[in-house]
Amino acid sequence: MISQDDMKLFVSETEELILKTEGEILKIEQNPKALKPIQNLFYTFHTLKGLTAMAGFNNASKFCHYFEAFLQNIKDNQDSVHMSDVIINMLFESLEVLRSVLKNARTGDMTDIDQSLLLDLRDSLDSFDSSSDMSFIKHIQPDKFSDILNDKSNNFYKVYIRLQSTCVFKKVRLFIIFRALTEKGQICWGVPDPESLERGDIINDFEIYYISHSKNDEIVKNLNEILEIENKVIKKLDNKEFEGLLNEFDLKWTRILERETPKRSKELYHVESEEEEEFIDGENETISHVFEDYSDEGTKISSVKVDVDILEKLMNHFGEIVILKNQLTRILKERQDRVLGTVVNNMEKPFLDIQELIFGLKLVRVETTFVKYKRLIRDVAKETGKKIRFVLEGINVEIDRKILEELNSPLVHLLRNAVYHGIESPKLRMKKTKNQIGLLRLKTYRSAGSIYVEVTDDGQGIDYDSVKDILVNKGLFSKEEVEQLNTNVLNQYILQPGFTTLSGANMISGRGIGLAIVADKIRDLGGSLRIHSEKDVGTTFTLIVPFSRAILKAQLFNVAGELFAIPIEYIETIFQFKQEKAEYIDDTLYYKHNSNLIPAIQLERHFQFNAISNEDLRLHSKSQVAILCKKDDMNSAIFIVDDLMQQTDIVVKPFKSNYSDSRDILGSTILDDGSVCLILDVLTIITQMKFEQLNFK
Amino acid sequence: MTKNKKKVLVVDDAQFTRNMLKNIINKTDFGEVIAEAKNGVEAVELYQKLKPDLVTMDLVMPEQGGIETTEKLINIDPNAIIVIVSALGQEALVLEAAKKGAKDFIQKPFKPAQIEEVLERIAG
Repeated sequence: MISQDDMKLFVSETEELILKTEGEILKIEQNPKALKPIQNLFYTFHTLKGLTAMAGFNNASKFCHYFEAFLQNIKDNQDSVHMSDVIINMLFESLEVLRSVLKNARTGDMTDIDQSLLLDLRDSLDSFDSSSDMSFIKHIQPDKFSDILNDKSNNFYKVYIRLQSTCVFKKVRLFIIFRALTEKGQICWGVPDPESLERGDIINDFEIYYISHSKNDEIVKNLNEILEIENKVIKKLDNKEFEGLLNEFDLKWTRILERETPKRSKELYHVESEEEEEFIDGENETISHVFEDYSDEGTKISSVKVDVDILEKLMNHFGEIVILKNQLTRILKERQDRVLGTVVNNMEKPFLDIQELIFGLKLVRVETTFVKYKRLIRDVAKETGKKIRFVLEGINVEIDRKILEELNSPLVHLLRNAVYHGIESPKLRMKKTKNQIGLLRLKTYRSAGSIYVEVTDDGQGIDYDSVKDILVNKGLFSKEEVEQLNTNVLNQYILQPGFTTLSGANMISGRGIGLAIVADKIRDLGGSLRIHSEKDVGTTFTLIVPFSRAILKAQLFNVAGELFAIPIEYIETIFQFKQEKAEYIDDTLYYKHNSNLIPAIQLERHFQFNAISNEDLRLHSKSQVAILCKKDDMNSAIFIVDDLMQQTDIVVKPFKSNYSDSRDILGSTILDDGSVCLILDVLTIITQMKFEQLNFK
Repeated sequence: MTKNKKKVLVVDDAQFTRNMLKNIINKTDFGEVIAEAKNGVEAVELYQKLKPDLVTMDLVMPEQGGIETTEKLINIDPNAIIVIVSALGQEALVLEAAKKGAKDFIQKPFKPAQIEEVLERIAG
């Protein structure tokens, strides 16, 4: 009925709306009395109602309608409903229901929300409204006590009922029982409690307190007509007794109502300070502003939605043209055609402009993914009973869409770890004289050609003593040696792929499993992972990823007749290789550069193009060029190659090979003349060299 | 004679279920099936014609479902005694039917003893 394209549009629009809705619910949770989020929520459910109806999901539309009406009620009568935990959770769950419909819709499956779920929802929403007449158990106000107690025809009972163990539909069963009793009297309290009883939330038995003109045997007769009752006991109570009970019930009713009012600042796991609220509002005001523009019907179309697939194709085609342009340039240089040369030169500027624009298209704000983490942290904090203040910084930073997607699972892993294992429980934090509320910060910024994403917690930090123990236990170091290792080195070990298997489960207070996977993922992206941690102060994981990896400037060079490339951004300096400056210390090759001994690697040997022994190396004169590459302040390496070629723009095709699990290759590229060139992953090579150096015994 | 036997109208869109119910009810001493309806519309017609003591009502039926039919029957006769015959997992629908006036409910698969209980306790 609805075209595939339209369905795609429906899915993406609805997803956006659901995300926005989630944000509003979170806001309500932090401040249940705030009017604006409730209004926004009302509006989004209204829009969702329309969207789902248009797409043909009638039950989903009714679903949204119930919420819309519910929220309208809250909007208009502020006192009729208290935004309790139960309601908040129900709102979140409703989003999941809608998301599941979307999930089906994406594959063309038009399965709508189940009819019974719809009715369940309507009943639940009704039951929250204290002004509705659904409840059988009534709160009797103190001013009515004397009338009731003095009325001679009133009898007071405590009724105990046990249901048959085979009873499944407890809510309906209780409905039928309460209905029957309410026809002949009034129920004024129940055990376990009125709310649970209305929901059918009992194990098997319950008690109710009943006021009625009926006699004992009449009540029995009434209940005899109802199925699934295993046992019933009706006890008559005298006035004095019941008077006391009525007072007790009144107290309990009042407490229930109080519990649902927003005095929850003490129970919140988010801090509710004015300052912070404003800060977050500031960020979110920006989002909602953009969104309102978008949903404003009939306005100018200032933006279009583009399918990501189309962007990818555009990117690829453009990449191919860049290669062709380079070819053209090279040929023209050889032919020395002035006229054509000028034309091609003039192409340079528009090309750069298009390149920039296309890059811009592929960029998204990290916000789109990072705001979702708010919900994640909320849920994990709730699950672990921790108090967390979650701060997002730099959400405006733009990053390649693909890279952002790849960053998601590592970040989720790190964020969860921070809550599970990093940040201590409020009790423990208090003992350590820390703020009970732990800080978890996700900060994004750009520097040089890279994006930095920091996950910081002020928790217990990495237990380096445990790390040292593990290294000793695994025989890598002796007790004395391991004490000599500084934290940087220890961090390297934590991230090594082999480390988790070395230590087994549960190392560094639970972190470790998956950290290696995180490090791998980042490496695959052409990035790196840094750890900074201090005991009881906290831990920061810094993910550094290239801003965009599609088109790079690289230095081409020759090793044993094969072409390789290194991205310019990693190259410090290039100089002539001088034999005498190379020396072996403990079987590791070093090169003396500006009075520093830097680890070096003979690429011909590394790639084993020829079998070269150490002695041959000293005599080997083919290598002419040394390239100094820097990973960070602590880690550099010198790559010894045969010949230097040109610097050029290359289009990187990421390397995923079935034939080799070489970690040294970042990707490949096709040059002007059609030849294939492999791009070195210098960061990985440098890291590996360091590791071997430390490991070497 | 059959003086205490309740007159039952069985409403279900599946003949198999109708037969099964009919057999069980007719075997008991307490009830006899005087008519069968295969959908809600038939149910309303037959009810008005025959005024049974008890109606067993299936929930999910074509054209007019159990909830709507219950509502209609209660409108015609507020004292109509309707027992919902439901499948597992239909609690919300059963509750809805109860709110519309159904007296009680049983779940499939049921034992003959349960039907007897219904006839004894509930019907009129």
